[in-house]
Amino acid sequence: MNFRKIVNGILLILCISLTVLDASAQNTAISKSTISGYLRDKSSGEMMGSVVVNAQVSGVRTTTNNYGFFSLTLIKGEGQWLQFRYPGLVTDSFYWSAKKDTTITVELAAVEQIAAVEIRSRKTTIADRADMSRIDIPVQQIKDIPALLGEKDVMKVIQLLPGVQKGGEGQAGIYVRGGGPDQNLIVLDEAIVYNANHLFGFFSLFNGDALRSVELVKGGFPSRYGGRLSSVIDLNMKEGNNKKFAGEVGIGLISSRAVFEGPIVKGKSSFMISGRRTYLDALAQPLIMAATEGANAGYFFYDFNAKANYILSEKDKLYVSGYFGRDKFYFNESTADTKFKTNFGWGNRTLTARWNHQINPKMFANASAIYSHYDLSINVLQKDANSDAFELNYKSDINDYGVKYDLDYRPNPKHMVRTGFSSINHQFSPSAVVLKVGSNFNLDRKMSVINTYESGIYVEDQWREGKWNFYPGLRISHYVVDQTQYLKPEPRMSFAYNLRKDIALKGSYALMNQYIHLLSSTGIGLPTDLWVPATTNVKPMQSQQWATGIAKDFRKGLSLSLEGYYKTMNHVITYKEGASFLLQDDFFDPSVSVNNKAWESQVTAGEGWSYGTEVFLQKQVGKLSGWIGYTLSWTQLQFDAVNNGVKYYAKYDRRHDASVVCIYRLSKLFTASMTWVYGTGNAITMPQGYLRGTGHYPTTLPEIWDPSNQAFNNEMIDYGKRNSFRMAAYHRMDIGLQFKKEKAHGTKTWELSVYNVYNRYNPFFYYGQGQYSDNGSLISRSLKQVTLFPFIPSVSWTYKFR
Amino acid sequence: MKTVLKYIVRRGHLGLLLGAAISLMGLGSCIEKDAKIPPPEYSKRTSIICYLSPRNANVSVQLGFTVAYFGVQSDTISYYSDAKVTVSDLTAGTSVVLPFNKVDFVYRVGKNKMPILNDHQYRVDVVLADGRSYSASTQIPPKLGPTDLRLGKFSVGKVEQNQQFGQQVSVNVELKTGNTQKGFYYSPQFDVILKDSTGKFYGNTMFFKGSGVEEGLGSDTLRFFYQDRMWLQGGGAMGGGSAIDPMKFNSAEGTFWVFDKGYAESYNKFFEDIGNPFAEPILLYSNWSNGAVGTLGSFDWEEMTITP
Repeated sequence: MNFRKIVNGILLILCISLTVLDASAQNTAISKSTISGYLRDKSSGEMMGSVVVNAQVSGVRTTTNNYGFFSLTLIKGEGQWLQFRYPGLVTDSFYWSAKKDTTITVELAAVEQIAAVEIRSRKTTIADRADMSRIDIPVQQIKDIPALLGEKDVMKVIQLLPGVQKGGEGQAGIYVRGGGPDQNLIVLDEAIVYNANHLFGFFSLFNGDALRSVELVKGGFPSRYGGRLSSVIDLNMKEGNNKKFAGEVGIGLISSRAVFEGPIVKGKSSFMISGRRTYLDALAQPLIMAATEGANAGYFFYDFNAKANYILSEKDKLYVSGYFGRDKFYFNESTADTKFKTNFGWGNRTLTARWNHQINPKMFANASAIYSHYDLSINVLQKDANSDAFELNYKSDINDYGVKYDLDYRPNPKHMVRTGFSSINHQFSPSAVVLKVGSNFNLDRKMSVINTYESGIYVEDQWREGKWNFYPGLRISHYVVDQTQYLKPEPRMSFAYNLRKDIALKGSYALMNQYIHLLSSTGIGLPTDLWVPATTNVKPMQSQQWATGIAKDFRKGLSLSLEGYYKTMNHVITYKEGASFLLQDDFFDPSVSVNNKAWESQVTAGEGWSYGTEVFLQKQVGKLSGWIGYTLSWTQLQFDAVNNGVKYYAKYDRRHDASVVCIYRLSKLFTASMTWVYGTGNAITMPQGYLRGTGHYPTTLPEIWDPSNQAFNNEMIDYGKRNSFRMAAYHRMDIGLQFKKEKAHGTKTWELSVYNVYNRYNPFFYYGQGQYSDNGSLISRSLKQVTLFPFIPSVSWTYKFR
Repeated sequence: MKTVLKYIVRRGHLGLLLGAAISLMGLGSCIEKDAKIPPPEYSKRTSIICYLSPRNANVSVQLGFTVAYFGVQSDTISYYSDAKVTVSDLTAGTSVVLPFNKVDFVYRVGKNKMPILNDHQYRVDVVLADGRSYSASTQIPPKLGPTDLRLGKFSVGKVEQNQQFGQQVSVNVELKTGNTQKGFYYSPQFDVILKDSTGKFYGNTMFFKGSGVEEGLGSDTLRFFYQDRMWLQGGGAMGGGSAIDPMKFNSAEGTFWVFDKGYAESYNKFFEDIGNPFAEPILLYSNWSNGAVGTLGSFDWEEMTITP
């Protein structure tokens, strides 16, 4: 396939489409005029995405994009009341005469500023949207929902949504519609975040303080997204208050956090900085030193978010934002003769620079330059008086350098066209080792970087025609590694048909490609999980997903959606049986120095299938808000080199998954919340039987190779079939109470929460424990379970000043 | 600390302190209990293990059955003694029935009754007293030649005493295989053997399993490299103990053995079961018919001795 011809063809189609749409708009230009502009939060001046702009006479509407831009073209001279609405903000209206093209900036006030208690409006009703399988998560809800140890966590809230499953107890990794945790595209201000976990997966990188919006897409993907099979989690940081200085500090049991924001030049530019650090290491240090006779050990993580923006003109804005976070575990022990130091760290860095430009009243463009980095390092130093010093330094990392250009074009109220392209240079360094043993060995294996280039070009249109809403799109993805190129079209389509104004039938189809794999031998999000690129031998993963459903809006902000989906996945990879991160063939081999792909021999490619039904009943407004979600699903995998090639249930196959989330705002100063979750137990592989040798022991050295000496003596475990054992069902209830108190310069909030309120012992893992007779022989073995988090109360304090 | 406590009490924040303490106690708890669900159900399976090699003095077949991992355990050996076990050399057209050896609990004959020859195809048939039958076949790897294994880089350090782990020696060895044959797997093994002044042996083995297990590649395409410390065990001194005075390399007291092994796929797959706790679990391999577990494998080796 000739890539250049295809790209040229697509560009031609894009140009023709835009020209035709524009011509259609121009044909009626004599009789139409356009109002465009930006929606901002009145208190902070931040741009507001997803605000509904409704022309009440003609009944047409649009929504603001992520940067607050909107454009509405209406019949000239036909005056309209325009209404703007968004959850948490007071709905506003104003009259527009429509006599000429107009540019405005609208500011919406927060509900609380008008002294109302409850949120009375919501975004577009779900029956009114063409897309499906997409959920916006209000950041305030993330802060209201009770959390483990009071650490508010976006990913833990996402786990409560239907179609999304968590891996294990307390884990922040998510599994969407049968896909693995590597199949989620997590983007923070357009930068990819590779490892979104802190503390070995128990917390995610994202605390709500620095976030402005969170969106989950689990099917019917818009064409602007690509590169992952199963979901998109799109997070946007706050821009920062450009009117006044504000902030918030919080003290919790394991961490403290702070966020500050304010104008740099009032009304023109602003900043936001946010930080969080755990202090378990400091609290536990005396205990550790006492228990280990002087060892210095600990663990901590920190996050730092920063963002600044500058309004160059009415039509141009600049944004710069970044995330920096790191986890570190360390253990140092010294005696008179010995010294042992080890540390284990991993972290992410992202940096995004964006330029918004309004080309004309109907066109809005954004150009981005993006950097993303993830690394893992392990360092060990051992010295003692009698032997050579041993020093090991291991490092693997990924660096992404990307550019992106997006164009919004709104020729008329029926069409919202988006098009653009993106290109990323991924630089993988899977493992670099420096090993020194005394003066005898000095191995310095610097891995050459594996460069891959991933690009995409897309076009999509939100097209409204009577009772029909269409959302067609096409993405062409291109990937280069070594001398191999992959060029793959990715058609996308969603539609909705309104049976009534409040009921819609929906359907969607999406084809996705993924050019990066995560090799994980545990599935619990350890930092040793290795990101590797698709190569000539290891093909990119591909999925196709079909979904259909019905959406119904009720009164008082209640909505119900029922969706069924069927997803296939090809070229999914996993470790072969017996392989792991620790078994990289040439881990210490200096002869392997160029484009190390030793992992290729450790993996096997296969297929996956996932299908199910999801029910989502949500109430977004009123004193009582929250949702009830239920998922019935099946997920199976098949690999030639695993389970003798027979299809088996994935570890995260979950027949039933349910969640209930309630947030009750009793008054402006008191909020109570509750969550309850239930899930079928994970499918795991457990020892079921074993065969034992009859006893042939070697008696002399050298131990001449005789396999009968070994095999006849080993106990070999019979695991039966892969994942044939089900863990006990998981369920848990959490509650939280927030007490607020208004102070002269801000609001003080105490939060009490209880994780696992009825103290359910959910299994984290199982193992067999032997019981022995007095003479030491094994007489029986029983199944034991380990529970991580029983009833855990926590308290936190926050002060938000204004 | 006293000042901090005074501040907390005076400011009425005692509740916060108590809450924090309770929560930290909760965080520190990791509970192990009996599982509330039954362990996996299990039905015993016939197990048959047999390795044929020109290097073995006997032809042995171990015939038994697997036992449940959970529940009541017994240290009695699980075996069938009343089965009919036949080994056939399909290439030569000969066969022999193996009698049960009551001392070692295996079916066995000396290799003079059934010679095991390179390149020959063998089949083993097992018929239990209740009529259930199983069979498998294998081919013996070709004989390895003297140039099939060559030494590349090679150096050793002096023997050292480590307080925690006993004797250790730094080793840097590179091995290359010569021509290998498609359909078989090859893996060198490197043994370090030392003798102390009392005549006791100390040593260890480096299996190049993993890197060495490759199927039939050409000359010089398999290279094996080891560069690290090897712990020397044996003689009762592992895990501490006194330094061993005459144990030093760079003198004639130490010997290295290098073995190059060739073996059939069934052998290789069965040995993958002996495993790594961090790796994905391996389902028990079998090349036996009718649901028996175990393997009929074959192997041969070539050896080389290095005295520094």
